[in-house]
Amino acid sequence: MLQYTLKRLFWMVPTLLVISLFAFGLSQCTPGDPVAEKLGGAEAKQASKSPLQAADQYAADYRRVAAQLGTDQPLFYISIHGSSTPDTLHRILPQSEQLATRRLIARYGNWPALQAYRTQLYRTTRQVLALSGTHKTEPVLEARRWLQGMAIQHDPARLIAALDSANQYMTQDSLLQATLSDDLQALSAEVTNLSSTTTRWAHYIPVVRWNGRHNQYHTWISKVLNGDLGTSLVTSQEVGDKIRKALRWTLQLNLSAILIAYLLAIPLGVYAAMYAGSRFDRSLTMVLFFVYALPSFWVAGLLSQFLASPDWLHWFPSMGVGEVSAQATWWEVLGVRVHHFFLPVFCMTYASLAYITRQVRTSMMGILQSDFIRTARAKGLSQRTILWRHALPNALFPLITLFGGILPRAVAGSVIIELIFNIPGIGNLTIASIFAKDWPVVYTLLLLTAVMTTVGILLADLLYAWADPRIQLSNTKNNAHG
Amino acid sequence: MADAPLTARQRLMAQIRRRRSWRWALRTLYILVLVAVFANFLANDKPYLCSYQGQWYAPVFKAVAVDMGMAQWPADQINRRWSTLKYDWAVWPPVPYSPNQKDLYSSTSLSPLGPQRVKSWRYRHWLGTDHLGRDVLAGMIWGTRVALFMGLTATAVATLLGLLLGSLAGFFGDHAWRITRSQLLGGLLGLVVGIFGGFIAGGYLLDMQGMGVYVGQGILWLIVCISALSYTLGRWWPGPWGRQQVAIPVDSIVMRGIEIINAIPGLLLLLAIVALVRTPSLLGIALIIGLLGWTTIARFVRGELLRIRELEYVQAARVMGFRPGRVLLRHALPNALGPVYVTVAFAIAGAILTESSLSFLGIGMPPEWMTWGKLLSMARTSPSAWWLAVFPGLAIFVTVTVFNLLGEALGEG
Repeated sequence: MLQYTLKRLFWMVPTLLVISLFAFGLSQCTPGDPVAEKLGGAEAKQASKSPLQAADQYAADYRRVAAQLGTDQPLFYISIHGSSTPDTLHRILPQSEQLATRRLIARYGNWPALQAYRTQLYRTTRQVLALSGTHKTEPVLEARRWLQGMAIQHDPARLIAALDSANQYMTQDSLLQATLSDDLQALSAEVTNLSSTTTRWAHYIPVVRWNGRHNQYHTWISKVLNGDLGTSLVTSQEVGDKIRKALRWTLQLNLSAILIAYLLAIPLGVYAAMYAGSRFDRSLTMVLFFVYALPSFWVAGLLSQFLASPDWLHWFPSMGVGEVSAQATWWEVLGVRVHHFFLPVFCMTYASLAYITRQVRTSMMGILQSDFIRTARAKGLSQRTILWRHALPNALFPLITLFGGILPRAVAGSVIIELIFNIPGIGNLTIASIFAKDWPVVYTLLLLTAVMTTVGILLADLLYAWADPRIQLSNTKNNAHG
Repeated sequence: MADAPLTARQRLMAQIRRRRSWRWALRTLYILVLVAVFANFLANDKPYLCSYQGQWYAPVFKAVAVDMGMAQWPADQINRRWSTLKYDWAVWPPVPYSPNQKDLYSSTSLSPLGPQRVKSWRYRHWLGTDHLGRDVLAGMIWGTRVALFMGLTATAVATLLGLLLGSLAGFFGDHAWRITRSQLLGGLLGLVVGIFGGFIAGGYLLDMQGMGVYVGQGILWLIVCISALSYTLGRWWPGPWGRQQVAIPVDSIVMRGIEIINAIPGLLLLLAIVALVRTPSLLGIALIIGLLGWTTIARFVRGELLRIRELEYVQAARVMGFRPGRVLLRHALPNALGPVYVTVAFAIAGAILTESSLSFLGIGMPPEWMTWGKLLSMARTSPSAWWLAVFPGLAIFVTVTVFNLLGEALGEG
């Protein structure tokens, strides 16, 4: 058993690793620049300084915050890329400029030329920034706007258009022309040089680099492992806190639904198997079949519309989980909760009820035909003893696999049902976070559910192996369907 | 008849004809498919044929041709509001409304039973309207198309992947696929080179040509690199070390992949991905649903093949010296398909449910497509409109039940 447990635990590692990589990868795909969002209107505050100082200040602030958040680090332990990309691309900040640079590399594949272009662009922009502090004419400001825009531009046509506009404004102001003409000319030369010396083959020469522990994945995963799940982008609450609050309701709701489903399904399945082929069995099978196909969000919608709204029958409250005063007795609390939870629990129960009942029935049918039941009958045991003492425990074996699903299901929460019945649980949190683009919460939930699923499957397997020791020895465990 | 060998299709049909409920399921499926295919002709705010200012037009047909890219609207017709013109005469579709067209006479939701201010009974909203005055029946007819498209496409992707991986895993297991060390080495090398060339170096393509080209050329790179390098190394490897055979544990690899995919919460991931994508498309969502859903089918195929590969006729085919690929494709796999039909039917039902949940939540579905889930979600904003809650849900229920029943019919063979 110990050996089996260790083996299973060992196999969990790659699964969890892949899942964490997945969540991390998704979080990297999210649009938006967290640093810029955090800095917000910092640029506006610098109004008293000269434009050049303000720009420098902003760049310094950006670097500081980026270092704080770790976004100035490479993504992973190793980076593999074409030789056209420099090792230090991740150090180009802000993110928008890094993205533009990455795209320019993709187009031209010539890093030295691109670097020369960027240096020249930087110098030119600083020239015009410095000038615009003392000489605030319209052409200067316009030229500044066009040049600053070039830093995040990657489309060659747009780059040339920006250059042309800057050139045009330059001719309108003599002072501007005096300071800028050489630099602008050099810049045009760099752009032309860029498009004439394309080396896209350089993409295909691999460069592998070891980044060490200072990378974004390492920072992120060690934070997660230490329990620091980050803060919500919307409410600035701790993600962990948010989830804990929601988890309370989801656990109550789901655990009661699961409990009720099993308590009803096991007797139903047993009787259906015992009287297989009878009218009871046939009608039960048919009812369960249709119930199983009823989309729970439709049923939930209908129930909340007709039984919990002032327009029709107002038997149940439609909103939330109910208010309970602090000094209420426990049965008052229970009453309120049952009143509020009745419909959602009903909706969550019926579909799994159908499924579990079918499972119990199938497995009971198999057991009831086996030899040891015949023996039990032959020695004159009562029907009840045979059913509940001899057959049922054996029939429940396959249900152990279902147990694996309980853990993730208890945590995950049903998005739609919680949404319809306004229950502030995990499901509602999920959908609200997705709508609000509160990605730290979303990825944490993703990770949490995935880990719960893996652990659930592990527990179910261990339980199964403990209940049926043959499993540990044979490799053909997975032969069974489903 | 009893003696003549039946074709697979005839056997399926005979299977389905055995019970009345299954026969009805099949008939309903035919109707659903017809409605989905001919949605343009069943509910449209343009007339089939009309005479306007002395000229004859066939706007519905023209619109279909335009959608298929076979024609273009003439400049004077492109913005014409066909529904409000004064025609000399016109032949209208049975439901003279389009799903996204707002009723000009009423902007509140109309009950199917209550009074409606419409031109004549031909224009009655038989299933009512939503709060913007859009016809529910038209929405349901067009929603059939989305539901079936999503169900079938997603399941097609899932079935392809599931059949491929499941049959490899089940037929070869961990020991039967033996290649020489040099071939293995070449294959691994090809994998590395392919991933680099196709997906990392090729990643530079992503910005310029979009996702489709990127993924396509990446997969091409992989296939070419793996087969070329594996072949070359296997052929030209010098010493005897490389000629020794090793087994590829396909089964373990596939099962591990299934485990990982199953650990990922599907709906949550789907929601996150779909919310990330800037311009969602039906095909994209169907692909994601399919990519997350192949594991069940793969497990069934694998389980079947594990059993079948031990049967005598498969052993005999092997002993006769047929290549493993041929034995798998011609002899083993056809017999494993029975349970696969069942899972496919259930998978279609599941994909349709997923699609309607997504559109019920209002995530990802392109705004120009009306779906059952969208109609259902509108019931939440107008609680007194019972018709919005009842009819679309009924459509989902019926469709899902049809596929479940067909699955059951195929399963009891």
